[in-house]
Amino acid sequence: MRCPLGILLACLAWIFTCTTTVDAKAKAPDWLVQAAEAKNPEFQPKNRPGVVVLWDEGVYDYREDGTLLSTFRYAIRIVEPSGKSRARAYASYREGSSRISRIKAWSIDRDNNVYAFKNSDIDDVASTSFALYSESRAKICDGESRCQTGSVFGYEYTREEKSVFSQSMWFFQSNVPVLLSRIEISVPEGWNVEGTGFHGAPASTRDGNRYFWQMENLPKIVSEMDAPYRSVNRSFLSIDVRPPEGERTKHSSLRFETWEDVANYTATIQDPQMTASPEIIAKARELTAGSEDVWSKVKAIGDYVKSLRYASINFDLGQGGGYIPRSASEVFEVGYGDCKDKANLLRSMLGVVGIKAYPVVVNASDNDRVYPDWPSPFYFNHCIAAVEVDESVDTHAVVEDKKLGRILFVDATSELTPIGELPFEEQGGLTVIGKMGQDELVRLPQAPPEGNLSGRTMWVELFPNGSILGVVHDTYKGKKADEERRIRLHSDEKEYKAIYERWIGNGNSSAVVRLNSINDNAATDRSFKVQFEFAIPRYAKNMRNQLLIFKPAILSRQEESPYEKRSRTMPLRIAPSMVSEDSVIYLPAGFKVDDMEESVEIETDFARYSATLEQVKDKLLYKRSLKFNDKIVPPEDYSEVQDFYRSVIEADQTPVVLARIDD
Amino acid sequence: MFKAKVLIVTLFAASLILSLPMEGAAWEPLTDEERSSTQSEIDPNAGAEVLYKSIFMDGESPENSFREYYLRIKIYDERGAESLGNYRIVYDSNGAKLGSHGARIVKPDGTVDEIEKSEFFNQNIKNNRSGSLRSWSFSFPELEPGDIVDIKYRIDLNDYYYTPQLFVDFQEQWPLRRADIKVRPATWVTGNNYIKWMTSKCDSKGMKKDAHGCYNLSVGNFGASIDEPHQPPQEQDVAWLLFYVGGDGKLGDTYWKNEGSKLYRKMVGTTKPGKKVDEVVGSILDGISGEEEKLQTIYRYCTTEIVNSLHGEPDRLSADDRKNIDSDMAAEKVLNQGFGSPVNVNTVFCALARAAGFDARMAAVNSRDGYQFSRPLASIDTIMRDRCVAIKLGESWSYFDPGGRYLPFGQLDWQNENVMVLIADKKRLELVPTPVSQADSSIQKSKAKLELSEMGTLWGKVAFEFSGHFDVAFKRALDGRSPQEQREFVKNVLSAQWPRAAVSAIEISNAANPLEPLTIACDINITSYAEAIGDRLFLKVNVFQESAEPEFPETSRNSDMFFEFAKREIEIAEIKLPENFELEEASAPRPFENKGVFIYSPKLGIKQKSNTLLYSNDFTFTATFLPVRYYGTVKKLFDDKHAGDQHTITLKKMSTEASNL
Repeated sequence: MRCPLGILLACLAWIFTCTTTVDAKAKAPDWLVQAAEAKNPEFQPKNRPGVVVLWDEGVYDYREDGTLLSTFRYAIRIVEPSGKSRARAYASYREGSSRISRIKAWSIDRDNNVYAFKNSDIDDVASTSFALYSESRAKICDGESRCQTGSVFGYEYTREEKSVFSQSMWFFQSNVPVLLSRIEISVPEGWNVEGTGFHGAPASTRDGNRYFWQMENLPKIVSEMDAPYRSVNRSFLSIDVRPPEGERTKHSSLRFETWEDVANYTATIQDPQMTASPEIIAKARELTAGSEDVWSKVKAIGDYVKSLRYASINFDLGQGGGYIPRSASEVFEVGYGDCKDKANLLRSMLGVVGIKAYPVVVNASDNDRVYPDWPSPFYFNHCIAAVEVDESVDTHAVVEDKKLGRILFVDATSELTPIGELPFEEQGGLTVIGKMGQDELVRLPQAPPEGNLSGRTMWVELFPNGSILGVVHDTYKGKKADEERRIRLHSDEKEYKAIYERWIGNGNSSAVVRLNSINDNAATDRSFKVQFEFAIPRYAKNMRNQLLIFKPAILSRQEESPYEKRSRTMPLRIAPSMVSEDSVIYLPAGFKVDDMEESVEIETDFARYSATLEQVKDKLLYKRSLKFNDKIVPPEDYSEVQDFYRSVIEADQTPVVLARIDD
Repeated sequence: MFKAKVLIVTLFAASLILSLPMEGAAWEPLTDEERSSTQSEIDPNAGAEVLYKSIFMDGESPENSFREYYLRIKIYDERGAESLGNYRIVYDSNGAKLGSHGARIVKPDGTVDEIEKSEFFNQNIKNNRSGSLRSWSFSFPELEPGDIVDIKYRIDLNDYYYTPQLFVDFQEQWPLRRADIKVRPATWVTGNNYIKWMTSKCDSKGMKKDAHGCYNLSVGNFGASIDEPHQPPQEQDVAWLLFYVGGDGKLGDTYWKNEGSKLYRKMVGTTKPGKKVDEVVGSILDGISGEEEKLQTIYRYCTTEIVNSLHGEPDRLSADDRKNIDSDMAAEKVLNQGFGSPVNVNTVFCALARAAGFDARMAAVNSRDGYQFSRPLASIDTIMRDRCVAIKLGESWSYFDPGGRYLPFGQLDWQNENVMVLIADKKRLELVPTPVSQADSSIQKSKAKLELSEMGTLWGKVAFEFSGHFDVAFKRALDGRSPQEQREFVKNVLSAQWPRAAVSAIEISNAANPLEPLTIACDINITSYAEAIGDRLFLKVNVFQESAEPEFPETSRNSDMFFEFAKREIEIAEIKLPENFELEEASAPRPFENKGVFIYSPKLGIKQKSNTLLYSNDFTFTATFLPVRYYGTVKKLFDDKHAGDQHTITLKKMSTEASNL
């Protein structure tokens, strides 16, 4: 029998109505309803956050074979319109070793209407765009369009994970206020859970094989410029889950109880990958042919490995693939690799010529990440090499280690930092050297202020109309050289010249520059040298042809302080660096010095500034130096830093007044 | 400039690069010229050069349609080598799949290093309800100057995916020596539809059809795309090709007349009188007789009584409300629900005006920040996407855009000024230019009442008032922010203007009021504003431009100069000087002008009695577009203005006896 069209349409209409009814009557889970009932904390006027975290919960359930089932619940309330962009569920996983078995999200508007997001609202995305290939992925549900100010957005998801790692971290605080943050861990009988709290994180509560940690009404964490990472005092928990002694589980099997465990793990997974192929052997010998000492061999091989392209391929992340390099022969053959690939190839090639080297895991972006009390590889995001060297190697990247002897650290990934130095961000950080039995953290060396030098010699002629012509010889070292290399690398000659013209003009668009020479001495003394000439029309202010006013600190004047904020609650890390300048300024005929500051000297324990100005016949000799020591300044001494900068600015901005000599 | 390490090529963006060889075809032979080239003739500074780029889009057979890409690049220096690190090909795996592909490096000595197939990594990068994106990525080993890189690949399209449209941008990161584009549409396309194409800034006579049904274009010698201040929009500034198929055969005026007629039919439906329309017109126009007053009343109603989904207070609409918005909604429905999109608001305005007896029409208008209008580019969706309302007042048309919230009555967005507008008409072609607003319509007025200390600290109150396009732009920037966020935004803007100033007591008025001008007031305190040395203070008299950078810092330029709108900036400052200081050298900055286009009129005076400096400046700039050949003149004018804005006077401490007088 044929179905009449009218009935069919009615059925379709009914189905559609039912569908919309289901939406309209969507219910939020109990935890989200409870979270949404919480009131916002009192905010300081003019300091309302974009959102408040109402609920942040992780429930970890370890199975007998080490599989981890974790359920996460998270809810926020939108406080300010800018907070709407945080209404976004994000469930990360690693293809191959974990999966998101369930993800749900809801929004609750100001009138308590609940909207349940549909499966079709969920995107599944590769979460890194820099790697050639990565297993890191995420399921994402963007809730911004459903949220208004006052709305609550919440989500929960369950992840099943089969990983070798059994460590994790739980951060209670966020950069917005958190009303409730809790973690619960369940383990099979006989397993041990050890949670170590940092910065006020609580001890656990235990109920049989279930462990709980909970914090409530947490203020937002606030970081301050140049504050060491750990001074932020963000409450967190480090977690170690261990099966019974002697029992080997299929997953969650790795234990890191000491730094020696981390060193041994690093050595165990990396050493087998460094076997040298015949091609590697041949290349290493070719590169070092004629090299007589250790330094020249390390440099030849280091420069070669650095020249290989950086490309990252991440496989087997759940099995520790993020720490395991590809074999040296494979990297050598394809001609590219990531940091661990490069460090491993470097070790392999150095081994060919009889130089021993070890892998070193470091944090490349922050040298204050490592908490020595909790041994773990999780702090580290970068791999370099520690090379055993002799006295022929003498650079800022060398340390004398009581166990390993004389060690040169080599970062074969950095495209800017020459062999013999370390990128500035890595310097001074704690690291693990991947050698069996290495039971202590090692601190990377820190270059002295003179190692990060910006040195300038300048000859300048000042004309009666206020224009100046100058010749400059600049020498950069260390961090300053790296910065200059970065600019040069990313600009062609025309752009580089334009950058100089903008810098030298300092607001005067008529400044002209001729670059005479640019020498990157990365291969020799590691300096970067630029020699140029410049002209700046109207540099000196000509007051009705009677006065000429100009600043003798012609280039790189301190114009403003980086520390304008009135007060500070965290220590301030002063980074070591140095600026030194010697200028000869020829005065215009017909003018005499009417007013000038002859010398300024400011000294603190974190920095020293001096400037002297001396008239010798028709010229002024101007010397200026600014040196910052490697120092942590406590917050109570913050005003000293501000005073120092104020004084430097004042000194750098102080002009010389020339007056016309009466006929 | 595009500097990303990972080059992403998407099938959708189609502003693609490469192309050609057939399945399994050999690499394109290298010419002696390509081998020996040591620098780009187009730009000797370039770190690399695209020697050859081709795209072949073949849709002749629905079962075997594909796009083929070929790219050949010569590396000249380290930057060029660095730019070609990792390469990623992205495509929609629901509609396409990667066919043959390869990449190789030809070294200067002729040795060839081909990337192994195993070094191409395939990954699903996004899955969602609208599709699935996959990528194939690979990395070149370290490249050196002198290397030539070839990349080729083919995207096979499934039966349903094929769309005969192609956009090619010829100016990207590096100069381009030669490009061949070939398109073979399906026979069903060429049988019943019309092939159309358009090029911009290409020295070419257009595409030529060959005996195989392919449309071909060969072009070359393009410089890289570069960033310059006041650059015209990308669509007007770089060379490109747009190939498309029109659904009907109409071209030129015939096409536009037909589109005007379609607009008219649609307008008749959406502005149809109804109960609500009549009710609103009756109530708001009751007792009003003047034509302009009536229109203003309708305009005010539309901008204040209908919630605009794009601007204003977005929180007033729920997600479900937003779902109910459809740009084709009739005015009656929009009025009943009380909210709508900008087009809906314009529809209501048009409907109410028609109901009030005006000859009001919906109109499609070109935008200055997109493709320039061109009669042959027969695609209303490409070059006339904006909508406004045209109303015949007397003999001429006036234009209104109440949907573009914060636009004053009778003013269009700057993008829609001085461009072509197509007015809905049943029979005639009404294609005319829109007017351009004068500088007096867009004024930024800055006022300051300040005091200077002996140490050079400057403090006091400043206030700003905006009109016209200034007002619209600032209000839109404040849109959707809470009062706290608005103050933070304003503070950031002021901090950019005075980096060393402490800014406090920020008051913002009329931020969401479409009828009144936006005003901002605050207190500032700038330590060491004036340089103090010995007995002298050196004072920059134009407080508002203290940290201004030169408008055109470069000595040379490649692109034409584009300015959003004609403008006037009025700056007035009173600075009470320290009591015991007097003017030593107090020349005024020099006023100047250029043919009425650029007028700079600074004035400086002093109130002797109160020892107060009076500074004012009235700056007018009326140009909206200037060819690059005028760069020298324009740069000099702006440089002179900058120098004037940085003008400094000297104050000297009076002797004790003098100060006691």
